[in-house]
Amino acid sequence: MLIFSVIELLLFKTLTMKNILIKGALAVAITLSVSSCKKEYLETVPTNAVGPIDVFATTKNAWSAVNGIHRMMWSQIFGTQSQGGQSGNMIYMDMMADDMVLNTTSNSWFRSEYQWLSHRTLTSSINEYHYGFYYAIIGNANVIIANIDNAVGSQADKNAVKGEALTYRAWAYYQMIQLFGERWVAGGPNSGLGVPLVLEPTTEPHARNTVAQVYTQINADIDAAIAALAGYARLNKSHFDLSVAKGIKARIALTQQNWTVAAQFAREARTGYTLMSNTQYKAGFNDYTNPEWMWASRIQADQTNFFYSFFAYLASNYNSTAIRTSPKTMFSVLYNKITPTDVRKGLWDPTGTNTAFPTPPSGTRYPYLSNKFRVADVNQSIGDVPYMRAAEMYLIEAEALARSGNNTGAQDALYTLAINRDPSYIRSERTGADLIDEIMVQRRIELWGEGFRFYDLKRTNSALNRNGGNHNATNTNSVLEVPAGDKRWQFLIPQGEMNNNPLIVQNPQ
Amino acid sequence: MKEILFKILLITCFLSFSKAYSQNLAVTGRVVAKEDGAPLPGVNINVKGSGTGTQTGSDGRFSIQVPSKSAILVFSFMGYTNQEVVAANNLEITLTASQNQLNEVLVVAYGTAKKSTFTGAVSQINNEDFAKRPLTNVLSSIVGAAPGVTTTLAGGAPGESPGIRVRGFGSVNASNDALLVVDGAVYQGSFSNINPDDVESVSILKDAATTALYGSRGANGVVSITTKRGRAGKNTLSFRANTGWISRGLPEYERVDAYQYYPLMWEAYRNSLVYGVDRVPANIAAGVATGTITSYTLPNGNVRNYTAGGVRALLGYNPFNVPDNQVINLDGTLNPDAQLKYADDLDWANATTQGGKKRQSYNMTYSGGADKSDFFGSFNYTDEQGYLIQSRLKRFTGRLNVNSQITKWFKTGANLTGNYNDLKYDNVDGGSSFINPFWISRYIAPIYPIYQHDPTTGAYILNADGGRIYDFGSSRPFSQGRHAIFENSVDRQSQIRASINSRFYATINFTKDLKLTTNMAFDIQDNHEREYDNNILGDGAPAGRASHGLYRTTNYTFNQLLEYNKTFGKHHIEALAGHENYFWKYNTLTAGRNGLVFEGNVELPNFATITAGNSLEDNTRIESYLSRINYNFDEKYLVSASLRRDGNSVIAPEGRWENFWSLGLGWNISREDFFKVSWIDQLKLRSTYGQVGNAQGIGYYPYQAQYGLNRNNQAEPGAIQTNLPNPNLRWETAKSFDAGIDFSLLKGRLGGSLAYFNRETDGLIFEVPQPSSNGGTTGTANYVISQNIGSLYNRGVEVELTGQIVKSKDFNYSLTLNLTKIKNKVTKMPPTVALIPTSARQTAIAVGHSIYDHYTRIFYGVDPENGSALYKTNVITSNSRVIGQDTVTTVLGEANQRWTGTNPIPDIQGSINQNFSYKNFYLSVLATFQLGGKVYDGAYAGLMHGGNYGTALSTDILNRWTPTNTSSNIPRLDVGNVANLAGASSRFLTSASYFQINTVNFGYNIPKAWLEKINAKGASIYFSAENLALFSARKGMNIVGSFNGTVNNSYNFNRIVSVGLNVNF
Repeated sequence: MLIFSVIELLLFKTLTMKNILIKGALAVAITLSVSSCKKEYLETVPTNAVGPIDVFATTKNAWSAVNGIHRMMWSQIFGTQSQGGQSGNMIYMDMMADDMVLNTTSNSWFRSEYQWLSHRTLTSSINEYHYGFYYAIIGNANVIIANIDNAVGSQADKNAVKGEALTYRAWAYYQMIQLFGERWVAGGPNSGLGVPLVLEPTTEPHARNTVAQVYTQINADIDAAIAALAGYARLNKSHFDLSVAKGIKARIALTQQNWTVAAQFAREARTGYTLMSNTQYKAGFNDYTNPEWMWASRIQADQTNFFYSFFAYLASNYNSTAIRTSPKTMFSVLYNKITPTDVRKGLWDPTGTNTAFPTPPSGTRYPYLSNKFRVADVNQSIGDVPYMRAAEMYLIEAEALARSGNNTGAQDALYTLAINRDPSYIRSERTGADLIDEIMVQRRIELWGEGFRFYDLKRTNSALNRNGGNHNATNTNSVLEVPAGDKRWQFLIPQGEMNNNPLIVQNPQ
Repeated sequence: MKEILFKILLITCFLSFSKAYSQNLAVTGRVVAKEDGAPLPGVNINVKGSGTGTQTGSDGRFSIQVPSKSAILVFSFMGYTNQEVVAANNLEITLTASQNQLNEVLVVAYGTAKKSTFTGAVSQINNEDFAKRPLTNVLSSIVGAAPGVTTTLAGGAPGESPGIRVRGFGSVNASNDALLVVDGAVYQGSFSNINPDDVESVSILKDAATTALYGSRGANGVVSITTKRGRAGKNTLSFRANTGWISRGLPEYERVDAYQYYPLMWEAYRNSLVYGVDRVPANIAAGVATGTITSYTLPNGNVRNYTAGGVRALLGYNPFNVPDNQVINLDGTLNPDAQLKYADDLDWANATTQGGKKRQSYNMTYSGGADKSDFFGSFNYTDEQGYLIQSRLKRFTGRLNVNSQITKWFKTGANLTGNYNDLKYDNVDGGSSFINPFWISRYIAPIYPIYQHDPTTGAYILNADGGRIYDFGSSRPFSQGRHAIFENSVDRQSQIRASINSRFYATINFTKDLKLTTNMAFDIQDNHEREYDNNILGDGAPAGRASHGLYRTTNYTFNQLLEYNKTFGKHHIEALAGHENYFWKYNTLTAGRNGLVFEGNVELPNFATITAGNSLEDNTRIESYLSRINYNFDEKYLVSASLRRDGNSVIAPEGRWENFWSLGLGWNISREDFFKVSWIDQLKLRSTYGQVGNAQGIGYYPYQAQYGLNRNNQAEPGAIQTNLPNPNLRWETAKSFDAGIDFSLLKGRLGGSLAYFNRETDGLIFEVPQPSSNGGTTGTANYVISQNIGSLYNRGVEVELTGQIVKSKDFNYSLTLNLTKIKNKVTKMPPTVALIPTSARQTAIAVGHSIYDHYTRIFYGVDPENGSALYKTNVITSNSRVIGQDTVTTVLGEANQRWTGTNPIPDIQGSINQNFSYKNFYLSVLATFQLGGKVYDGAYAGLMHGGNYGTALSTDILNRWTPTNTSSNIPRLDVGNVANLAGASSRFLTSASYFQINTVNFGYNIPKAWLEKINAKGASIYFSAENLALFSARKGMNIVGSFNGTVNNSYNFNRIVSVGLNVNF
């Protein structure tokens, strides 16, 4: 502005025409109308984002960073339709194992995972997803852990925020270490390569830590979380609280074959939850108000996740192409192990012709069709997604006790669950390996579709065996058996990380 | 700031010269144009050797004081040849329009320039070059029009823009697009809003001297559009009507038919069993594939059960009139009795081209002026209906351009245009979505019918109204349960786009030489998008869903320019100083609902559940100080310099302000006394150097750490980390050198120019990907931090030659040849990312290579033993072996990617434009071509898969490896091993050379005698064809669709054949 006034002054001196005043006035008007020389003119900010300084100014704001992670649990990950947050992991883990059957190759969703091709291909989305999704959660948790202490707010809020973030970090590392590392062997050195431990916001590359180091950190985080969450009453089941943190601690201990801790924390975790009724069991597994649900996402209509919803693949009644043409069915060998009086027997149709089982319009039916998961409103793909239920805690407790030799304790824990599911259940008198087998069968039936089976096969050092039932050689591309300990039980580190992290070392190919 | 003060001093200095003239005799006269005798306003008249001068008025008249009777007057006017006349009273001067290009007037940054005294590199396309083509988007006129400008052909959807690259590819991650300017201000709207009939010229500014005044936005060149204005004393009314027929411009790839396809897929299944892990004996495998065997016990006792029904079950359909397990004989041949049950219903590619396929355009223009004002008004209606299912553009535009010299010292004007576009479009995303008709029709196997048929008779199944029923294909392995034709027919995707573009200015002439102008450009574009996904099939099913989006772009440019032009003696000086504000704002408001209530209504209240509601505002701002000086001595020695200082909101405050500048020198040798060559009319040497910036296309706030909102968890507010801070990010800087020769020979019979350019871009922005283990977002598995590490250059030579080969009374023939050679090379990369691969087109970026160099696995050939594909590798594994000098492997993943030494940048590219006229007939033909270069034909690779059930196959697969055709270079078909047998490799690199006939225009100028009855001044009737033919290495390959060699499933260009009538009054 000033500059132009100077120009005008200089001009006036040199002008000799009559109407100088008029011209001058006009020129001034023209130049004065520039209204922008203020420094702020060039300061622009987005309207759909805020800076981290604002996020961690107060604990109230910091809660938004925690809720952002909760939302990631059902957000589409890296643009792949089958990866709706954590539900991608849940479906992959069952698809790659024995208890879920793919009946056609004509629908390509989960086909190459079912055939054990994807996780052994460097560039496949399943590797990138399992690596990147959990690290995205860890990254967000790291920012919270690093900044929450300086936020303005109550100590109780800080503890709760930090406790949830620590729980996420422990859980995310636990989810991925089981895929990218070798299985934990109790008493062994566990010195194989795990994943890099990144514990604070950074741009420095990190090398892979050993499996042992990763589990040490997981335990440190979940223990710190348990301490921080004491006394915290959560708003709803999308949040962690002490019970869920303990449940995760129990899972970790089970994987580490640390039976005492697993049994203890599983028992503590389920305290206060009651098992659902048989009526509730048949209600479609889509409502987190169910009394035995401990941790879940609730997805509401205006936060819908369309075709990347868990229910867009696993529900029996939603009208998606994947469900219509490739509905999920149970392994017939497992189905045949369910007792006739068990409420769960009714969730799968062995004939594939029972029209009492819902399908979408012109949906295909296959034998052992599932009716476990249903959407409440067939116009919406959404439903609450279960991540932890009290039933699992009984199963962890039973398995841990049985494996530690406490047959009576194991039988008790199992009985509480089993009698709920099957009123005719007779308290098991099995012991040792037989009892463990019974508990594992219960576990497979109970947790079908909830994303446990691949993890269970690997942690128990079991072979994949899809023979003897409704898996066929065409659809599995002849992957009907994979020996325990085969290198294929390890996922490959994704190509992106290989490219961008100079310190990373690949798993055996 | 410093340069502004300097400029003030300079201007003050120059002003002192202007006082030094005295006044003597008065001379009067009139200047008219030779071609129509109309008076020419604004002609410059100078007394030779003195500083005295004046201009003609709107009636062409002038009056000037001369020092003596022997004084010589020089008449000069842009676009006309100068004339020197001895002063006399009542002079009647007739100026002739310039014959040679050097007298052209060029539209340049913040003004115009005479080509003969201009040091920069500009190519200009004038209205008459494209007026008779059926162009909906004026940018299409650039294709083939200028050397140094690489273009893609606009896609076939109505109104699409071509891609434009000026002098190579200057950026990797920031924008490579030329800056688009309309009537002096940066334009952010859609280019199909602009009525091509309103456009007077399209200027392409290529070198630093011409783009430096666009500062931080000029590095990729500038395309500057100037619209028409009226001329006082020359009132005209013109009317133009044009009707055209549209068709698909590029045929589909050659693919096998149903009779060929079925046995091929049988073989792919059979081979997967024979060569798979179970090593099933060939006779058993054949039985399984035919459907006569369903179980086999392995030697180890494990039982293998197979899907019953053989390949028929896997393909889902048996289109033949023989039973399922008799379609294929056990030897793999098709049952000779097999006949198709519905042969007429298998051509999806043809079925997708069911659009309106026509184009109409009507244009009326009225222009003229009287006294001290001029005006131009136009109205245009264009209706273009694409060849796909729904795509259509209906456009209304109107323009009014009025200029008035209110007083001797004050001039003002306004140029206003408004337009309304009603657009419908198909789901053509270029990729592999189920609703992309191109993707579906290209890759769906030729055994799947479009409509439902009776399984026994093959007759169409009809609905209650007797209509055919679409076959949604729930047992089809390809596009299962989806139907691109049905979905595109019943879904609605539409846009109503309206915009107003305004340009105002006011100029005060302080003296004859000094003026102050303020320009205000204000554009607003509103876009209302509506989408409806049906409730029967597809992404909207089962509920049906609708979304609405309102998108508003507002931008203004406001500047104040002080200009000083002065001629004293043989010195000519033009100086410019100014200040500018640029403001851009983008707003969105979107909402979506699902759950259709009543059929037929796609407004939101007719849907039950709210699924989305969102809004956004983005802002960018630039503030600038700019200056320029052009000086020439006797139009012989030319010097120019420009300086611009930009502050840009996209860059962090620490580095927000930057200087951009240029210097230019020129020498008109032909004006030297010692240079007297009779056959050389004009010869000019010119050279420029400068530094221009680029920060377009890197987002609006790339330096800010961000937590993204709208991540709520039910009712609780949520946010996640989306962006890391990056305060060090700066502009990319292009340092451009340009040297050229412009010439005109043989009295304008041969003209042209030759130029060399070297554009070196430093501070190249690389998105340095961070380890995934350090976190990421839901969209990407890792953060990127953009860093200004990297350099590349674009060097090249461009040649333009125009020859008036035949010039006679009745017959004329001229030819223009444009040639460009570009070399692109990366010279510096970030230390942590020495190589960045791009898998989609099998290229990578690294030092010593162009940004599009192919980096892929090297296909060695086919193992004659078993038909496996062999790739070169560096590792010895159980899958590899040594053959001669090479180690080869059968596993794609073991083969390392290598440089192939090829890229899609041609050795030479160019165009030939020929114009013939014979009496009242004329014919013009424009062809473009490129020679050399290779593209990765990914679309073809998709048709050469080793066996994906339901996916079409190229006819080339007929020559695949079989036990009886062991010398084939095409691997065996094998469903179980597709990744290795048909993986991306050098096998699919294809010659990028092509020759295209872009435009043929044939017309007849109706004799004036015939027109007198209707008082018309001129009329013509013409026929035009766009995109008449493309000759390339492979039928169906869209070689003209991208710069980087991507051959995708986009809306291929169209062909338009049209007839037009033009009448002038």
